[in-house]
Amino acid sequence: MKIPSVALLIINEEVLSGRLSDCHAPYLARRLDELGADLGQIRVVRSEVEVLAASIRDLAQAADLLLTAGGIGPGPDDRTMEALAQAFEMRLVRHTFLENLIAHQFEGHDVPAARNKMAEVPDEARILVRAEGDWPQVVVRNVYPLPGSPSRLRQAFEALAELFVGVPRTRRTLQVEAEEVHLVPYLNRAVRIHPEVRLGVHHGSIEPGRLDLVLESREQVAVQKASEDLMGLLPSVMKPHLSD
Amino acid sequence: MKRLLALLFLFWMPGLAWAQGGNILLEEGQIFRPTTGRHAMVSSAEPISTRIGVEVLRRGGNAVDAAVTMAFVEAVTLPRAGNLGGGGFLLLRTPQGRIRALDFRETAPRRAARDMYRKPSGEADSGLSTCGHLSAGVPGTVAGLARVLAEHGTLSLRDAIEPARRLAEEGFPVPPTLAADLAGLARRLRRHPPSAEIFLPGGRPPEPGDVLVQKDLAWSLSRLQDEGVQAFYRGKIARRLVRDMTRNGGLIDLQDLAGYQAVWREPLVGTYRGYEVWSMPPPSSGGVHLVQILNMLEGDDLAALGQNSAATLHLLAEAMRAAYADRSEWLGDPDFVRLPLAHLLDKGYARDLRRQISPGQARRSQDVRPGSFPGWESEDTTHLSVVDAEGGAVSLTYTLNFSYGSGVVAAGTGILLNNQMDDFAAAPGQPNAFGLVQGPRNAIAPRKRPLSSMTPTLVTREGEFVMALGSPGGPRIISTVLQVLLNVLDFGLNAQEAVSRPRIHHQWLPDELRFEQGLSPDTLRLLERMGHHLAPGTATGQCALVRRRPDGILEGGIDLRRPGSAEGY
Repeated sequence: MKIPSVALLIINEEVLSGRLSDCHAPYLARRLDELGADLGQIRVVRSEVEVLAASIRDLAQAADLLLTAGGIGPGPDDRTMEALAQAFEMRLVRHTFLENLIAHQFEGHDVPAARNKMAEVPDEARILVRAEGDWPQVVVRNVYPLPGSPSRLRQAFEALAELFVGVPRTRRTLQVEAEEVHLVPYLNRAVRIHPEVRLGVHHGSIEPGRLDLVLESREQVAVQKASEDLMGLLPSVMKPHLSD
Repeated sequence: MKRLLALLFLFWMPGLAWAQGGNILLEEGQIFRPTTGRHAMVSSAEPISTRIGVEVLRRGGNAVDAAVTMAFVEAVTLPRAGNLGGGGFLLLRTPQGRIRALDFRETAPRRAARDMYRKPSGEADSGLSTCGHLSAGVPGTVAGLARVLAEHGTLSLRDAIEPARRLAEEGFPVPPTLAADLAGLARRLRRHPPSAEIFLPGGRPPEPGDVLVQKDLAWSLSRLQDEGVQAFYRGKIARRLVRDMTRNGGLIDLQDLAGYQAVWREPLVGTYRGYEVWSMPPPSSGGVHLVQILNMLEGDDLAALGQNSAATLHLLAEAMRAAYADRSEWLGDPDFVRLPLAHLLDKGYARDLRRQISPGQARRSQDVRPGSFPGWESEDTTHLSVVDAEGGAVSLTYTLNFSYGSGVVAAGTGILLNNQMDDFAAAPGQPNAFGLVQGPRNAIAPRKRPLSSMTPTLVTREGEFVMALGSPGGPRIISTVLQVLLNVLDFGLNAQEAVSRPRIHHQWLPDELRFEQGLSPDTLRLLERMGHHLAPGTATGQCALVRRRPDGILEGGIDLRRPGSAEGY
């Protein structure tokens, strides 16, 4: 069974200056995890065509599917389509179907030039039409540009969700009272016995001196076995117990 | 009780469109939604079979396991075409990318003779070649399914047969189409008491929702489970088949059955716009002419002409006209006659044929050579396409020839026998009803396989799986598969859209362009003006298609001209 690998490109100047915090990545990361996809990296960049095109090229190659967030509106700062065209050496063309869609929305009025910009897509783009009548989803190769508005992004992503179905991971968390250095020998042994399980150590938000050990795998049984083995390995003074 | 089961059946049926929910994305210009899945996909003409096929895949079976299980199931639940007593063809792609073609077509019994269906006056007696025991060829289905399962499956024959055996033993609710079929066939079935006993229980055709139990068929299936394929060709089933033949003037004997072999053939491959198109070589004519027509069309920008535009349909009709003319002359069983395959498949030859087509001007068939009438084949064949999570794929078409074959169930076996002998040219050298001469290459000879149009097809690109498809429809199989294939490759349609759009058919003779309902009257008028003789036709074919989209998602499409379903996960 193939697990889709995914990368996420957030296009937002304000995040880079620290004036705003991004809300797309937490949502998408959580949903991708639930669906069982493999999100490998999240990158935040500013809306400059060269920078964007380089990132798109890079991430689209690294992952099966690339989601971008933002930069697809009519504004001067919206450069995702232009960057997509540049990244894949395509021409930016005005798509008749999109153009008609805009004309229809402004029926009887002059279409503002800015709106028409939204009809410009790379010449090899696929146009997926939404039943709900919202703006179509454009697809360029394995890249799915999503809008920057949080509610629209969520709606657009959910319509694509099936692309990201893999095998969800199972997790178990053990809490211990110990310093990380003292844990290391036990953790190393656990990892050696269960190479298929990933073991993470988190300080989390809990009181000092306490650690969360997270065991994680796409094989449910393996997580179960590994957590039981690790419970057995850890000395009782560390008070290991399952936290969930 | 019967009603309760029928109700259960309804809930058990796979959810189609209504299950798809609200937030739907479709490519611009399309209105039908395909079934989608990431891992595996099945499309078939019989919903119970589809459901069971997906279940086999979910439990870790591969495409061959699913296809073979489904083919056994359809022998029970789709007696019109699914069978143990018929034959067919199968194309498979291994997960490593190797393509193989299995021929399990029926053979003529060894006592068959070239002129066995001719009246003293010399003309063909189609009654003899279509009805009763004399019309049956030596069945190949069991040998074919067992062979592909043994070489490429992971299930045992016992496990692959079990769902079918249970459906035969415990029965299944009769769907409305089967009820209507049996009502229509009642007279024919009554001529053969063992057939009537099963399909007209209590002397009457069953009502929709009644449970149809097939005890004898269950017996045959459990013999196969216990004794393997031998049971059919040498063992208990063979003896019952032959006893029934002997009593009723049929030709098939124990030696015929023992000598039957399903054979791997070199798959036929053509290229089309960078895709590899794999299909069945002779004794099916399907692959040859599919590739030949694609070769003729490769130089034209069909996408620019437009899907189902008059210009496109004209080009298709003329290309079909030329290919079907060749079909009648050149094809037969490659084990018996030499076939000019290299010539027919040559792109240069196709270019020559294409040059003879002028835009906007239909030709008369009498001006298109070479000449003879294509062997007539009934429409009641069935196809299933399966793709598994490892990239394995199966495209399987099999048939009894006519609906319910010869109408004969061999006593005590529950197995409906084919009337495939009718696919031979019964009277070569003699003009047939249309005043034309049939090809001697397809004349009857002992152990020979009759010419077919079945076209199970796989498409790959640089070896990677692109789609699996096929259809029933007799001679219209080729044109059906062709148009669905173009709908995906040239017109960018999704799997459901591609199988749903109206189709045309031209088979050279009779000189008419058959069209399905749903084409624009404007388009028809334009075609008529080009000189085509238009003939309104009923719905033809039923394409079962599975494809992998460029984004990796599997799409299933089932042609809803007849009942059927596609399911995946």
